[in-house]
Amino acid sequence: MAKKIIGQIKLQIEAGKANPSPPVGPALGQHGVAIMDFCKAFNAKTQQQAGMVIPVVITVYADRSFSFITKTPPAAKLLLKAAKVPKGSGTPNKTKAGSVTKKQVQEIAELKMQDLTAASIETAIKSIEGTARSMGIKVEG
Amino acid sequence: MSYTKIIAKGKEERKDIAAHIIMEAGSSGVEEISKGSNINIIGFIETEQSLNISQIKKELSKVGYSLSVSEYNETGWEHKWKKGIKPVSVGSFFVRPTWSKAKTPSGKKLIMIDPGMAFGTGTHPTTKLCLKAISEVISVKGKTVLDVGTGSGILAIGAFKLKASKVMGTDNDPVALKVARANTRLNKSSISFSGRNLSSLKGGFDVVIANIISGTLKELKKELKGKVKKGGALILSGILNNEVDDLQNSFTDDSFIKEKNLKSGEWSAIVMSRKP
Repeated sequence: MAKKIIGQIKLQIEAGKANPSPPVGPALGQHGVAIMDFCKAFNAKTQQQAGMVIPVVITVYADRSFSFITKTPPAAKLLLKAAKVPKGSGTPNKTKAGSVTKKQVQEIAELKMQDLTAASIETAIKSIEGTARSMGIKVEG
Repeated sequence: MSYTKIIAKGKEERKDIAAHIIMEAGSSGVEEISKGSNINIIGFIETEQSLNISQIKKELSKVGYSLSVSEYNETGWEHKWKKGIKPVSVGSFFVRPTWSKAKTPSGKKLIMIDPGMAFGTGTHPTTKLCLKAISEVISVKGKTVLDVGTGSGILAIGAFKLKASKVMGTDNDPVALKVARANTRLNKSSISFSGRNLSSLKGGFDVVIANIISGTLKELKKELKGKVKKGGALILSGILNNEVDDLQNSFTDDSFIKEKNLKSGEWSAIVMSRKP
């Protein structure tokens, strides 16, 4: 018999760095989930993606047990990595933080296709380009 | 510790950018709560950290998000999750949280635990595998034991209860050390704890236990092996099943050989021995 689900928690956390301070602690603690057990499992599964932010969806069952699935890193983080810059521009219209190539955008879009509800690769590319613009990352070529 | 709680409200499709802005501002992560086609992105920033609210507000408004800020001092969640912890029998032990009144089954050694914000309630497979290893695979009686990454102190206390001659626990998290010391008193055990690096600890141990995660175990490989006396044993845990071969290959050599692999669900532990 399937276990009864009592809650779903969505978080974005740095790979390999989950710890019980907020937001992880309060979000899980409120549902009665063993916070450190989640941190250990999450860190074990994401340790190889150090430096990336990982969206995670945690399902909590009536007996306080949990399961979780991790998703691909957010486009913003992937763009920064591709552009090799630590952060985006606070004033994207005036100053550019860096640049990426069309090919890089395509690669990110292909990776994100696993999670995105976007119907086609073209829509995914458009969405990534929109993110790039709002962070002051120029798409070249 | 007190935090500034940040809630950004806006449209679902731009949530990753909003989340990114909040994390750039210093939040270690965010929680997402959907409200119809809108979403709340919630972040927490330590109050000691400098925070430019108007700058964050400006950046968020560019992607259509509004911002509200409040002080966050709630601590109820630190206790609420503990309700889910149940007593558990594993190996020679019966592990129960301090607030449980469950009776210790005959023949089992009781470990009482208040895990606080440290890892090790006894219910996690990685902890169970270690308790099993010192109960059934190797003997710690009369031996010196080092527990690396002790967390709640559960494994160190277990070793003490199995009559190890000397037990030491280390952790790089000061919160864990505090919790481990409190649990040691609770169990009337005698264990020394240290927050120092392994390499600065003197001498070797008959048994070294490390329940961490595979990446950290690999990083500490030299120090962990260096702490095991000749003829001693090394227990590694916190390893996902698909990482076992890789980790085993990296640890075994002319003097370290694999004795046994233990498995529970998706987790494994490796028991190794060092040649005399």
